[in-house]
Amino acid sequence: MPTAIESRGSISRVNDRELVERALNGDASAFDELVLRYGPAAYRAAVAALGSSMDAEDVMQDAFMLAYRKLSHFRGDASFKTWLLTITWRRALRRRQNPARRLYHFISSRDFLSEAPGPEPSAEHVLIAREMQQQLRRLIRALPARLRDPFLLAASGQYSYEELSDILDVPTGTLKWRISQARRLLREKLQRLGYTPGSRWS
Amino acid sequence: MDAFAIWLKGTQLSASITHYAWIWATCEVLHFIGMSWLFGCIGVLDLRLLGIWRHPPVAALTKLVPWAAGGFVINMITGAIFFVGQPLQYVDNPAFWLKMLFIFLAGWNVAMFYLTGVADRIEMLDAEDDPPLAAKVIAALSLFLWVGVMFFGRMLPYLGASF
Amino acid sequence: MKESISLRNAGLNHVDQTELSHNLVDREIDRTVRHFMMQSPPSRVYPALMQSIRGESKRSRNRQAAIVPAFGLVTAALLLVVAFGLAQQLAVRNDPAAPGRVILLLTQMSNTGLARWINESESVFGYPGILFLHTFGLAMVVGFSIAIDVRLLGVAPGIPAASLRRLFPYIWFGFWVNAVSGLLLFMAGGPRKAMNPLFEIKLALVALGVVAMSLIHRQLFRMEIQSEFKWEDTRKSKFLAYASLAIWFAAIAAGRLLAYVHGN
Repeated sequence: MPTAIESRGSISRVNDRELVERALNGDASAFDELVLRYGPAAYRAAVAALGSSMDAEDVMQDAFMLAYRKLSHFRGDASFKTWLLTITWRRALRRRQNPARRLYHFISSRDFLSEAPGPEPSAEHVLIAREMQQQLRRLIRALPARLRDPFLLAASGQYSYEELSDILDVPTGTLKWRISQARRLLREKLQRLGYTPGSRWS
Repeated sequence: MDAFAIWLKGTQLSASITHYAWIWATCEVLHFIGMSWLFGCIGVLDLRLLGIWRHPPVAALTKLVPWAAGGFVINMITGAIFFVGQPLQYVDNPAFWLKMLFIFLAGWNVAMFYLTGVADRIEMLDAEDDPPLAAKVIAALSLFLWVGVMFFGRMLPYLGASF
Repeated sequence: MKESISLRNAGLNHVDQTELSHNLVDREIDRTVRHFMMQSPPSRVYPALMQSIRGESKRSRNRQAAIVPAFGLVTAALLLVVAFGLAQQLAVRNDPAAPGRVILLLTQMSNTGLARWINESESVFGYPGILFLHTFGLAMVVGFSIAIDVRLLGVAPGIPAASLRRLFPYIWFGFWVNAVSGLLLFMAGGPRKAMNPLFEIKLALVALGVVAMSLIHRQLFRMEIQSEFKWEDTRKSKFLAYASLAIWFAAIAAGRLLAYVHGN
């Protein structure tokens, strides 16, 4: 039994399905609320796929517009979030696999994750830590996509394993394995490059 | 009852009603308009309470109900005119009594709606909310009863002996 | 690696953020990646996106506003054609000695098995039942139209325009129930009904009523575009509401008076 809502304006406790109904009935502000709710999730999924915030913005906008246009095709059985993220992920992949984009990246040698700001390195190890971060980014970029995608998506904390499984169309067990595999590879490579605890760090 | 009907038939009022054909015709037209009016306003509220038409907030719809009453009043008046004009057509007519029964039941349904507090509970329902089961039952009954009233009204000439 | 539930987005079993591992490298990896993945979209994205959605919504409403009334207008046109056709035929050949083709056709129709069954059957599904369906369809069409018109005239202003649109399928359902039952009644009634000018007038009025409701339907789309839950009561919408009420009342009157004008 849904809780009563006091005024037309406050739709913060309305669930997704009702927002979709309202949007289908012409209430555009209901869709706005969905945009606010799931904008970050869609954006981060695009960032995980593409590594660039500008690309992610474009994909996020595309995905929401597509979702709005196809809203009548959304069946209530899946969650809106998962449906939206699946759309977002597919558009992001399509962009990633676009040959023109690949060529551009190859020529300009833009790094995956190159545009992203990094965390402030801890005070003691400023120079070393920065260097390590750059190395880390290169390593993440070098990871095979099937490991990197779930690894990055999981790191954002926005998605549950079930949602990731639906979005990537991979069983949750496989996802967990791939995430830990990605982490293991990165750790091993970093250690091989000399970033072991106790050596350059102390 | 029969005696009353016979007496009624003999009154001046009854005679004037049947004398001027336009009175009966006009009353028929008004009776149909009143029926549509009543059925329309009550019907939309029932559709909302059944959860079939989910969009508007219920509190706004209930403002239509006083207007529906207007249709009911028109039909009561025209119905009375019919009865006074031709009481013998109705008094022995099973369809007539069934129609009255259904009207009474529909009214009882409305009373239950207010008395059992369902009316207050649904006031809080905003757009898209599913109404409680009690409201759905009352709405379904309401639709059934009013359609029944329509049905027996239509059957009057066919189930009555002296039409 | 142990997994723990974290994050403020409570309730869902999110992928773990912290790792109970003392491995500094792992921590640094996590820190970097998490920081990268926690970016939010820049705030300027939202207004632009919502603007586009408004635009899209407007476009789709305009598209629907153009298409939807077309069905109503086509149906109304068909009805008018039938009404005028009948009227014209009967006006030209009203000589009982030399009945016109239409009259012959109607007499034939009323002699078919179906028509005779309708007229003579004792069951409730015969003539009285079909009459009841006709009344029921009328109540749906006119009743819901009255509810919509009354709203357009300002009663119960809390009802949004978008909701009223959802009533139209019921109005159309009532219309088709009446079209079918009306056709059956017409077939069973034979030429006498068709020769009654009030019948053609009634058809024409029903056609006008369908036109009025289609125009109102389109108007509701336009009103939605202006603002979702309150709209300015334009003169046009009020005019359409009054016109629709008048037309439907006249149609009911024509229907009822059929029996009086020609002694059915």
